[in-house]
Amino acid sequence: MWKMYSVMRPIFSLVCMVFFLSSLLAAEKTAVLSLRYIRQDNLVRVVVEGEADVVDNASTVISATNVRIDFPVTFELKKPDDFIFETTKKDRTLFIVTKNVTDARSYKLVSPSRIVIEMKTLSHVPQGGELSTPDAKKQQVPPPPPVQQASGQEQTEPAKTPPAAPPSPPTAMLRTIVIDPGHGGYDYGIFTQDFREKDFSLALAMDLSSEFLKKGIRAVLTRKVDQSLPLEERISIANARAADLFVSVHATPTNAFAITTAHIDDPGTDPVIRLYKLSLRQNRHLDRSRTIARSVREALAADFKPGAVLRELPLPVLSYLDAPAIFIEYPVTEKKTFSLKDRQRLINAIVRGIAP
Amino acid sequence: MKNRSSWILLIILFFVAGAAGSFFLMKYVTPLPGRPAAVAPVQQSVEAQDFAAARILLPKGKKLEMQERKLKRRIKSIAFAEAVTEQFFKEAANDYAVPQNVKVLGIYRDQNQILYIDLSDELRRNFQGDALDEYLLLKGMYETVASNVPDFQDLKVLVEGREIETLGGHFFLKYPLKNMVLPDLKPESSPARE
Repeated sequence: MWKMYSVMRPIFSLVCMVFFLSSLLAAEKTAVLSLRYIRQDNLVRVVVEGEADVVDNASTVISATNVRIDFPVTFELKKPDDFIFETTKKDRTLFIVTKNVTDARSYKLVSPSRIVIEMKTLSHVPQGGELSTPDAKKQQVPPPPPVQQASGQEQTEPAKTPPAAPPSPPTAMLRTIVIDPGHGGYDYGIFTQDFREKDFSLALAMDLSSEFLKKGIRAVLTRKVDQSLPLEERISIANARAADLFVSVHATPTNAFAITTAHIDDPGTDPVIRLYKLSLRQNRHLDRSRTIARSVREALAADFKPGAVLRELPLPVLSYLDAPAIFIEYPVTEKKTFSLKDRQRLINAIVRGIAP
Repeated sequence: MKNRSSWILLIILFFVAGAAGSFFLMKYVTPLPGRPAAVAPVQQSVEAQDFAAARILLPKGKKLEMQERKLKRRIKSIAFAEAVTEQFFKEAANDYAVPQNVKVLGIYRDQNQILYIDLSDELRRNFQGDALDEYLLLKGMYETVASNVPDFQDLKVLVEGREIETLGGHFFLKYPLKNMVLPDLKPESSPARE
């Protein structure tokens, strides 16, 4: 028995040693990744830098709510304390929760190897990714951390990054607005003895366009004369012009204004298809559309009684639009139409709501 | 042994009594056809078979309201669809935004089970509403047909036998309605509510 034990003992020790060594060898290497970011107005650029083989084999998926980066190995992430987005690490995957982001894209760069994610935010995004309140906007924003300048698209001019980013209003960056006067031609819209929706909407749209031009915003009308224009053409015009905002002007036979944004509810659709389905193009602009709608509602409520209501409807001129889009309906009744003075007030209120 | 026979006798008696009771009830209590007292209930039951409860979803203010109406039962579902659509326009015309005097010119079904409702031009000519009114009118029409006629896939509206682009300049009418009208809308928000 003793003899057998003495033979087995070295074999057993050898087996244990082999197990120990193999487990050491099999242990996955942990990559060290560094995350940094730069903020410029409503553009946030996030850079994740690491070893070439780790970054090259990583895959990035951008969804409506987060950016998911799958790395080939487990990793340790070093990020600045004041990083504006929430990050979650799960196994080999890094999630960056993109709150208030309207658009995002990613690409990889080399020397050093890095993944760059550019995100367009709704407005100035402070710590935690929440949209800043007007009070918060007044406060000084800490300067963004210095970013190592790299080659290619990532480079930015130092002069363009002010130490304190000025708060941008929800309607900043408006360059082109497409204004759509409703109805036209044989389609009169709502009409009374001395009012025709198609004519009043056209006149209103023209006045709005001149007011926007005064503010340096290019305004394009979907129709400039009394003509019938199919809904599809209105959508095509707005999408072809790459508008920053689409405003459709209509009438409502009620007492209050109605500001409508798109209602998108298509639960049966695959999430990937949702990104490309033409009738859901408005999906990624919905937050901005709602922000603008609220702003217009407030401006109208300040000048007119009983103010305005916010609605959501699956209107094709909104749902198919690849830009923020709102649908403004002004009240018209048999007894009440707009006088010239009221019309000017209405125009001023809408302009104030869209481009304060 | 004696006890067992008396049990068997008791069971037989119980069955005989039951059978006699049933016979008595069938013969004297249940009214027979041809007897004067029995006429009214039979007519009632035939009447109940001739009418069917139809659910009509009418635009009321800013929402749809369901009402039940008794309509004459049709053998073909397509004929019943026509009846409920007629009833819908008859009752909905009380609402300011729903066009008056709309006639149902015909209802057809294609091989893909899409129902085509052909309406008179009054639908377009007499429509005087905003986007919400137009949406509620189309949704109400779709929901009315859908809640009474089970065997169709989608519904398309024709005006005077032709496809038209839009009813009131807000929503497409050239495509079937289901995808557009199916989502439940959020209630509108006014400054007072927030």
